[in-house]
Amino acid sequence: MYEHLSDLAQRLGRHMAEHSPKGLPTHFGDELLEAFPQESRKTLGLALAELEADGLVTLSHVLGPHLPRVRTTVELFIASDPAITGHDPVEDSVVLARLLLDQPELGGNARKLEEAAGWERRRFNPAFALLIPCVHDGRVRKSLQDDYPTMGILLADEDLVELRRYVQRNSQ
Amino acid sequence: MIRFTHNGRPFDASRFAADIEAKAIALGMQALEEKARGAAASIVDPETGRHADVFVDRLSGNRVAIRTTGSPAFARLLEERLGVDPGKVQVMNAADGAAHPKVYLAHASEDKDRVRPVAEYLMANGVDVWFDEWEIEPGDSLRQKMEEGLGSMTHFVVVLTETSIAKPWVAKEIDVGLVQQVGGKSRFVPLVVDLDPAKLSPFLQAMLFLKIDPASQADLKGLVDRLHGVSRKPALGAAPRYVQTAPSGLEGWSPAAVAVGKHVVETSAHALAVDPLVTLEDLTAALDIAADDLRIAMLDLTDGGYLRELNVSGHYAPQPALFVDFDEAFMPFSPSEDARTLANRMVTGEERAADTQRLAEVLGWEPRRMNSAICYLERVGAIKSRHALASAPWRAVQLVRTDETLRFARNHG
Repeated sequence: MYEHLSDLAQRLGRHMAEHSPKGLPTHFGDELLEAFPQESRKTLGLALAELEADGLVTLSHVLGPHLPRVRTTVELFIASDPAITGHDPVEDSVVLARLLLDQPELGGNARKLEEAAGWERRRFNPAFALLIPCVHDGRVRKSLQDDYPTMGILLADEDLVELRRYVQRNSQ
Repeated sequence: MIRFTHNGRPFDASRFAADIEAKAIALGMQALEEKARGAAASIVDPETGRHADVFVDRLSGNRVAIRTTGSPAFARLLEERLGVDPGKVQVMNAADGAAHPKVYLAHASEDKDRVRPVAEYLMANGVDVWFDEWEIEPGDSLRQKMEEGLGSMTHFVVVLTETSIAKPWVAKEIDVGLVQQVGGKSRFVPLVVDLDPAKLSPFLQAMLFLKIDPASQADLKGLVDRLHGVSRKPALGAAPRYVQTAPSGLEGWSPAAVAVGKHVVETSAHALAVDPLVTLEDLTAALDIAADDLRIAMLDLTDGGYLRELNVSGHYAPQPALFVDFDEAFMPFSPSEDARTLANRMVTGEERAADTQRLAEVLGWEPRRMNSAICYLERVGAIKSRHALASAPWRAVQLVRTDETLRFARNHG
């Protein structure tokens, strides 16, 4: 499934997902050179470009002899978590969506939704992040924090319809 | 300023369209696979009364091949259900779908109570019997019905007893049976029941007849074996490997294709997606095959969904179907048997999603063997696999059981 990615790109992606303790988009830079001492800046840069082409990271290029600044995306967790947490974020997001359809008020507080799911934060956050595009941007709480993808979502009827369709699309 | 990006890069309309097209094709292929498997799931093979395995393999050029281990009759039903032309579903082992023998059972009506258990035993063992009391309804034309029965039979069986040998009607039926035998339309099988063979006509005495006791299971089984053409000769063994051109299960492939497939599976370390990556140059060096034969073999295997050509021309990687079929012939394990073992293990386990490595450890299998069994189960749609980055040497990090797993395990239990 990921065989089109080079071995280094796969290991690099896996490393970054493993070093995102909360399952949130995380920044990396030249510390990747230390984590992969056998690799050159050039080969790491190429591998990062591969990951970017698949939407697993976004890159911001900087001046000087540095690796680009890397920001992981939720796609990276989808691609890695079955091997890290033992869970599939997409499948988990369907469980969360069903919870929200049953009890929409849980969406207003990410912590309460997390408690209702009963999962570790590392497992919860990627699944929750996948549901955010189902909700109108104006109803996604934007407070500055680094615990959850958002502190909460307020669910209007049209969001519930989107969530229901999300469940239909992704149910096995 | 608003900056649009796609996969982290500035928006490019043609690249975006290409991505959408690739995604749409992938979804279409997936839908086709699901439709084929779904249709197959609802059909029971009329020959065996069980579900048959259906393999959906992706071919180059956005095509799929649908193959089944079921009988030709099952394949035709599946084609009807899918709305595709006859012959589109390939039967993998056509010999398994041999037609049932059809027997016309001639007898005296006074012997009906002795003959009926014979007819029932034959029916229960795959022999289609024309037995008058099952075929003729009140008001039917007796002659017309009997002619219909005689016309479609593969065997004419006459039950010879003290009573029947004196019946003019049975004698007429025997005449018809003998004419059919002479014309090569059917075989004539006389059954002698509670009768001294010396009382038979000289003509019938000269024929090879079966003396049976309708109450004896052994006698009835002997009759069934004879009607099914089971030989009394010992089974024919496989020819020595050094004289075989195509191993069992790989008939239909050219010798060059078999050699390539054998080389690929034997040099694969873990049966992963690009394991091994082979080039025409590698294969030319490793195999003593003429260049044109090799090119045609690669084309055959690629068209068949067993190899795929990578983006670099002349570079090939194995598809799951290659491991499923060629491992069976050339590796010291059997993917089909391992798939059954693995599916049974999964349905009896507690977890819906099982860790691949742990399962392999429990079964005592190396990744190469485990991955081959995974290929088999994925190919028949019996499991869902979870993939992850850097998960080598496993094809999937977790195997998820579904209702299809349960059905597969039950069918092959």
